[in-house]
Amino acid sequence: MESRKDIRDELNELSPLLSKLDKGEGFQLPPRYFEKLTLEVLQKAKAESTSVETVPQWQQTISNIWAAIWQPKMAMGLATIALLVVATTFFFNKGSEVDPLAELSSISDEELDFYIQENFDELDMDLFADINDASGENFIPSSIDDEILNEFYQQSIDDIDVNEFEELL
Amino acid sequence: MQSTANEITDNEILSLIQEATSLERGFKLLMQKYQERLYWHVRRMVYEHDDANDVIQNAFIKVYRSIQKFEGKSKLYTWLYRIATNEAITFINKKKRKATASLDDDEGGISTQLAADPYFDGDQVQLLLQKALETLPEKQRLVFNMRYYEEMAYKDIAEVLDTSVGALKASYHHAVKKIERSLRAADNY
Repeated sequence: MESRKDIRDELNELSPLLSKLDKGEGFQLPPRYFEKLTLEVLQKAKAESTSVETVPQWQQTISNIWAAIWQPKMAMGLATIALLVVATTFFFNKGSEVDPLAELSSISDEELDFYIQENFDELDMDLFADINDASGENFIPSSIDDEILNEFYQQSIDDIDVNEFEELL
Repeated sequence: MQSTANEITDNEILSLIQEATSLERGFKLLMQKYQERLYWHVRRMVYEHDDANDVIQNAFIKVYRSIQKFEGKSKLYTWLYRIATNEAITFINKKKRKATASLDDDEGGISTQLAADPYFDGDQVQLLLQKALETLPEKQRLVFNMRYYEEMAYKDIAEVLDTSVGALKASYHHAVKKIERSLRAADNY
């Protein structure tokens, strides 16, 4: 076992300069510090142990689990699992996305006609025109007879309110 | 009361602590026996009294919480040193992180810090020594403090820091040489 003398001899050998220095450090303390420290620590320690005792067991368990979850390693693990679940769900649902054309084909012509009649005012005619231009096909099917078309145009012209038309001009 | 605490053995203190009826008395004796040594150990690490006070209180509260689980595999005082050292290192690291986050680099380092501490009245040499100590890596500083100021045996320091005696000797020798160089460079010697 090393004695204090051994320790001082070692220092003297290593650095005579340091071994001659006064070891006073200049640190001071408030008066009666250590007496107060004992009492203060005891008071805090006892208060803490009392508060731990009064916490119900279930509450303690929940708070332990909660604290464990927020440990960096655990939080990282949970975040990774959550990310995998979201990615997997997205991946497997990708194939079952709704195909609008398939859905449309399941609607009967009668249902479609009825819908168009009921919502004619809501339909965006410009959009229809754009689709017609973009697709390179005629919006008006060729199966419609010219005579019927002419009749439709005539009817439309008759329906035009002259006053409204003037306002538009 | 102080002399009673210093005369009582660690085993007697531990026996008192094991019994609920004498726990408080045992803990008081333990504090009275070791608080000064541990306080100065912490103070040398954190420098300011207020910081040392916070650290030592937290360390003793941890001791109170876990003393009944102390298995006696190491000496009581090296176990206490280990708790206080860990608490001080945690405190220092937190303080460093706070300073980095607020970009509040402690301007002037230890000399400014000690000058602002109402509980420091060291002379020029003492301040120089503290400045030299500040330049050491944390572990070397710890080893130097425990060997130079506290005159602890290498075996005990090894128990506190969980390292080998050989590594400690090398650390201490390097630290002493560096400090000597710093003091000589300051043109005072």
